[in-house]
Amino acid sequence: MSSRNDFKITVLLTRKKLMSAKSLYGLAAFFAAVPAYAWLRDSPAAALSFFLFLFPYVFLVLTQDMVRSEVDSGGLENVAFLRQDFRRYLLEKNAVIALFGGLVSLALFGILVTASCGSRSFSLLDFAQFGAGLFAGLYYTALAGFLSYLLKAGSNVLVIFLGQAALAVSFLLSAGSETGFLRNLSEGAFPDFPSLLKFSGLVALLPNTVVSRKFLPWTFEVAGLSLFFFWLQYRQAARLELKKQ
Amino acid sequence: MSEHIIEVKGLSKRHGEVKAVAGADFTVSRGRITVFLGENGAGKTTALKCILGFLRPDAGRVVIRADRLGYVPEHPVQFPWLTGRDILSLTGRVYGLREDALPALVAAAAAKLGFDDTLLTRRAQTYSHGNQKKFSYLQNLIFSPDLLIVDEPFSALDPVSIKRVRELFLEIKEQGRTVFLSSHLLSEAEKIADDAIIIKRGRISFQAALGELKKNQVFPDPSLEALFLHFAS
Repeated sequence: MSSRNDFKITVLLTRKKLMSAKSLYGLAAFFAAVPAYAWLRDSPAAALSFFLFLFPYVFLVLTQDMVRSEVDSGGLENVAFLRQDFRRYLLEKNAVIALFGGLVSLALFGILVTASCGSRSFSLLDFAQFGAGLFAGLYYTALAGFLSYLLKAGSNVLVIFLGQAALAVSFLLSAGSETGFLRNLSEGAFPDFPSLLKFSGLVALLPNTVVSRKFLPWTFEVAGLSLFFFWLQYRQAARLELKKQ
Repeated sequence: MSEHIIEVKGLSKRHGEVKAVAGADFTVSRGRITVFLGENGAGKTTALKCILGFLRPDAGRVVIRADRLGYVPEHPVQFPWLTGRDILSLTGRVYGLREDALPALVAAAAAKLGFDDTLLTRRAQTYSHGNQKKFSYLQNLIFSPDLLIVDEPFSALDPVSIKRVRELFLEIKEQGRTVFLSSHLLSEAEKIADDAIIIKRGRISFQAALGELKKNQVFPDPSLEALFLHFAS
């Protein structure tokens, strides 16, 4: 059995699972509708900004319920996953989800670029922003995939959204402050180590930040964190045992 | 080719504080039907899952000398998003079967098991317990495993299906392939077993060829029930 055949099987299984998740259709419509609305109400540039900020979430929602529920269901105790192959399957799902997320994002980006060619010119920076967004998406896959070893159903994604909601609330509460982190953020400059550390934490919680032109170099942090969480997943998978809950 | 299709040496596995398997040693001979017996909680399922690679042993070694390994769990569970046909197609891919050969293999296996193949368009998770068990056999039959491991082969099956499964095991043996099954239904196991292995509190307390026992009159009553009462409890 070739590894290519193995990967095809993972693609097939993951595609079937994603296509059976009705909630994903609604979310896909949302991701397409927001930039479209921004385009109609404002401009193609606004549509592109919305799209670039939102599309990493495509990767995140695809990773919901990635591991734990499948393990607990007993569905992996099957001839198709004999002799440790369930571990390979679970790890390969990262690649499949990244592939699906990348293709959907590329298709939407392609539509936006093509449709707005007449009204605005595209620079290399636009594509760099898209590339940074892909890294943010990859990070979501790595992080939510790791959390999925620990949390059931869609809780892996919910935890990330809750963290981001808490972050948004803390920003709202500190919005009145003249000095401090929000000013650093608007200027894109972090004069001291604590503020640098704070921003690094923000990037870890909200990786979409790196699509902003002034924060593009922080993509390296996102890439590093992705590798770290993929490594953690590898460790989890190596220790994983199939025990029905 | 070794006569032992499975070799287990010093297998140990803990579940928290409980030592489920404690240094088990046994072998399963090629081309025979071997029953694996033990009381509830003796360590049968844990040992089987270590052999299959679903659990990681704490110590010991498991060697399987089979190209095609099959497995029917006690309570088969299928992914809820897959139809019976999807699962069979997936199994065919995993075991390198030609796609155009699959329908004939499925039809032959379904007829052998008395499985209604019109169910295949439905999600396998919606099948009755009995049909889920039959479907699990069907999934294994299409790729003709060299070694079929079955946990409680007769659970959830009606008497007609039990007879069919028994005949199926004998047919697999006639073809020179191996069946290793764990069962509590001693009366059914007795009809087909060549060898028996008994596990007691995680250790192997008995292993022998049943035919030899009868021939040599080692025990006054070499029935599985008598052996079970003597070595398992």
